[in-house]
Amino acid sequence: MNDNRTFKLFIIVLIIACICLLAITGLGPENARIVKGVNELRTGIDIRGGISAIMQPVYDQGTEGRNVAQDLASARQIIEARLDAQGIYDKTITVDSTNNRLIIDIPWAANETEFNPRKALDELGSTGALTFQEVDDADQYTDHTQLKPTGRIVLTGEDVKTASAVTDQTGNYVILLELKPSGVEKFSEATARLKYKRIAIFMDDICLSAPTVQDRITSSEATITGRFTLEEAKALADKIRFGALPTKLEAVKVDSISAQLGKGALDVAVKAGILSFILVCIFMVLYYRLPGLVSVFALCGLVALQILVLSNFNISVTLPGIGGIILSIGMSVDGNVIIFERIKEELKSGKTLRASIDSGFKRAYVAILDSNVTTIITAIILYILGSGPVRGFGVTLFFGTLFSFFSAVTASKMMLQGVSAFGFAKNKWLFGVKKDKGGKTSEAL
Amino acid sequence: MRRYDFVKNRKYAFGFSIAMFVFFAIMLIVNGITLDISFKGGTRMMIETVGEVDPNKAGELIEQAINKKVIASITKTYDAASASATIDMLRIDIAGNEPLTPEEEEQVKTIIAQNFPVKLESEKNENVSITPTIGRETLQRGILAVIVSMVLILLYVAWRFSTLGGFSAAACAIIALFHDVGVMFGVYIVFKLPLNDIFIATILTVIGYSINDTVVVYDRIRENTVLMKKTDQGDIVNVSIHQSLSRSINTLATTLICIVTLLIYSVSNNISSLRDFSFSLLIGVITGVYSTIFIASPLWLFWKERKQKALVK
Repeated sequence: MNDNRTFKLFIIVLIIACICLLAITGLGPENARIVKGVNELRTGIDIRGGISAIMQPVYDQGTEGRNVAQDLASARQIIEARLDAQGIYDKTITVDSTNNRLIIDIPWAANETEFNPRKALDELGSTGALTFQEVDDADQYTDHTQLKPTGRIVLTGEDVKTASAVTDQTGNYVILLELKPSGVEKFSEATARLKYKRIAIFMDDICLSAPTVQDRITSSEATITGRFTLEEAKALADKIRFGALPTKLEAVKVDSISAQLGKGALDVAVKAGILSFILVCIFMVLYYRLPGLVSVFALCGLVALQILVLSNFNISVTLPGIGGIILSIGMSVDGNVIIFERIKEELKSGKTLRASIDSGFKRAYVAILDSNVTTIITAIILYILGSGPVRGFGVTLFFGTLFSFFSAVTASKMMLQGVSAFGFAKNKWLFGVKKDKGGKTSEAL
Repeated sequence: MRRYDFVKNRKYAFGFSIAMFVFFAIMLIVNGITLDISFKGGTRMMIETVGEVDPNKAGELIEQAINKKVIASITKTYDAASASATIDMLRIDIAGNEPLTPEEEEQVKTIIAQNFPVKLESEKNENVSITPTIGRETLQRGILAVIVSMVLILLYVAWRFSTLGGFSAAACAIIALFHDVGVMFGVYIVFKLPLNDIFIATILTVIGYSINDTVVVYDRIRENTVLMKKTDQGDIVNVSIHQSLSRSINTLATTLICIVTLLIYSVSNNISSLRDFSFSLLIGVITGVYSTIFIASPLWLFWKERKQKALVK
């Protein structure tokens, strides 16, 4: 039994060590990383700078009858949603109301070497209008990349309820469309009429795919196939989902923008983080002794996991974001604190060490569960309903809470049980409780 | 050692909080709300530079000169005339509902020209007005998200703490949350700090922290209600607060270690975003713990007692 507990301790410590190592070095060859480490963290625009682009609306039919200010405001909102979907939460998009232009600031991607801002911005500024169009009889065998819009529209993006990137049976990435009732009707009519003919699917005036109708389609689902990579499929699905821009936007000027803060700011934040970490560890060890030491290990794993999530989800981290990680060092020991206080109480009531640890964890569990569930609820709602920085905050809060919950109730528990199997750990002083002469126990310090 | 009676002394805590909010309300009328450029929009000035300019320093100087919130940065464009040269511009964003007055513009130009190598007469310089970077819809969605999550927390707490009367316990927890958010707003108003996106993030953090804290104490009350059936409710609340006190204090301590470290580092290195972040967290975390101990549980007891009295009548 004792061996089993020691074995578990060994395993947990090994896992934590691996996670920490992974967070520091990452995994995989340089050009095809499997796991990204701390050095590949995408830092925000305030730390590393980025690009600032001026986008001008292009009206093919002239601005007559159009409310330009309103178009820009809704374009701003859609572009914000498109960037949110890419995990870029720290952009700023503002309308220059003097010249009727959009100014978009976005951070550099992590370790960007061949980034082509023009291309990225052209994509961002494309209207993203989706249409399904009939194909001229003469073009029935033309390669789909050569097809031009015919203007005989079968379906538009308006008929689509939602879109997502999925893999089909053959393992290729496709875009799954769910149609609105209006779309189902139109599509069913069109596929009946155009049987054995092609329907071309356009994003603006680029043909993505032009499948041949094999049979009448009456269901609410349709797929777009093409030779998409996962990123392409996702980007297209996002564009369809967030709707079309009211007008095309053209990048008229692209500047690189400096970090708003001096280069030293990141170093300062990292130093503050390391110091906070050390101080919290000292506090935990001094106050809780042996359990405190256990929580230090759990904390290492926790911070490493958080870094892994941020770097692998490509979430750009701003300086306040780093502040949030540092804050979580202090807040996430909470679960451990609740447990250790309970264990102390149990020990003081005269129980044996092993029984105290078991019942301490058991009784603290409900409190930790309830308090974490309330935070998780907040995080999920912020992610679903929020946008921009609020949404980014939801992501970090969710993972921070989830990890700290498991590190407290699982990792700390196994480690503490494992440590208590050793003979030296029988000393209650190591748990912050001392035995006085009368055999009664009282709190140390 | 006599233990502090949280229940008996609750009227002082309630009185203190009410007095504090009256003070905040007066200050709100006196000071008004200061919004940062991210909420308010303002004026963007572009001035060509001909040498090294520290944007952080420039922003500070302008802020002092015209008493408006400023964010400055440097943009670089490759010169069309020669491939290797770049055109560097100092970009100054000044928060304000009204466009800059000519006097203010002059002040900005003077202070920049005095301190940095810039070309005031460049034809590339321009002034434009910009809209808020955090649009109204972002703000509205953020507020909606907070309200929806509060309703869900209310339901969850009411369900999990049915032994505490469910809804009354949940409502008191939410009141404590509003208390914390109110105090954070209040402090910002009193010190005339500009509200920005960082402030939103810290409010959200504090909501998470405060509800955690309250739930842990509620958990103790729930447990003790079962264990100490014969005991008076007031005593149960007192004992429960005391039992969870060392946890509340220790978690506050570890959290404060981090916040204070950040605050000291950011103030001494003049990093305003981190300074704003840690300062409002400092306020929020302290009020979060205060509201748990002195407001949520004693208020819940007050509610229960009133209800029982009403039943007796």
